[in-house]
Amino acid sequence: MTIIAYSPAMAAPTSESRDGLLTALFMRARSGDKQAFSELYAAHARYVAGVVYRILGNDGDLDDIVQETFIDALSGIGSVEEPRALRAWLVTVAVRRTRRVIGKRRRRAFFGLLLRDQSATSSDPRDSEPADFLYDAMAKLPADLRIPFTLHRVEHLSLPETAAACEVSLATVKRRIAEAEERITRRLAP
Amino acid sequence: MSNSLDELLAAARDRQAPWDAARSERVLSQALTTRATRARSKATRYTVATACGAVLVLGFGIANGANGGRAQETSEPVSATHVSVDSQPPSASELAALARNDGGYGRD
Repeated sequence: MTIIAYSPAMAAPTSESRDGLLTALFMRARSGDKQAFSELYAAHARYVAGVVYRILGNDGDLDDIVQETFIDALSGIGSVEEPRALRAWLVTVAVRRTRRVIGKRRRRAFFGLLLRDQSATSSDPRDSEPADFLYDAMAKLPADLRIPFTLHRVEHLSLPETAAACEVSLATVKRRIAEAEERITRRLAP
Repeated sequence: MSNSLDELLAAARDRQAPWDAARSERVLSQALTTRATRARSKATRYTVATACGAVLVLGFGIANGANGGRAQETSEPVSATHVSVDSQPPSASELAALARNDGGYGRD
């Protein structure tokens, strides 16, 4: 299948026309236009993949999560009312999928089937990037703490956006971020 | 650990997903295929469930019909001593006996 990759250069250079194009694509996709959906996918998939990748710390389950996110999007796009809300909604769906994957990894690790697959660390410490220390520290966190922390502190989503993506209240998300930060700081301490 | 948390967060932020056009196209193609497959299997499940339901209802109907026929057959008088009674209005003496509740024997 041919994907027409969205690029701002295809549209006019202004953000208004970009928004207009995305709105038109959104409306067509909502009415079942597969081509429009493919173009919306091309416009949003990289962002969604980036968010998932930075939550997980590796790309082991990236394809599956993005794929399931857009399968959900195909059937659920009708429930999104505002074209501008589509990206946030996609992140919410992706976060839901990512939470399941992290939970599954933790369960497998618990039963000893997976010894050390939750972080992106290299087996040779000299190859480790600085971020790997962070993902090492985050590996032991439950998904409910890890995801809001990453969304807020790494992705720089606002607290209300993070709460919406995690489908919890603002107070809960604040508490979870604080708890995650405390645990990570404790782990990173020498 | 010499890196502060803020430095590590900045390093994590700079990470870019290894996401190129080929990978993107592959994932979309798989998504569309998976969705079509799921839709087909859902339709198949629905058809099978509907067919099973229809067979059950039909079978129940047939069995019920057979039982009904048998019940109609057995509703005929089976006793040789059974005598059908014509429905006639009771006579005056019967009515008087009923009113006295003495079975017509005239007991005081």
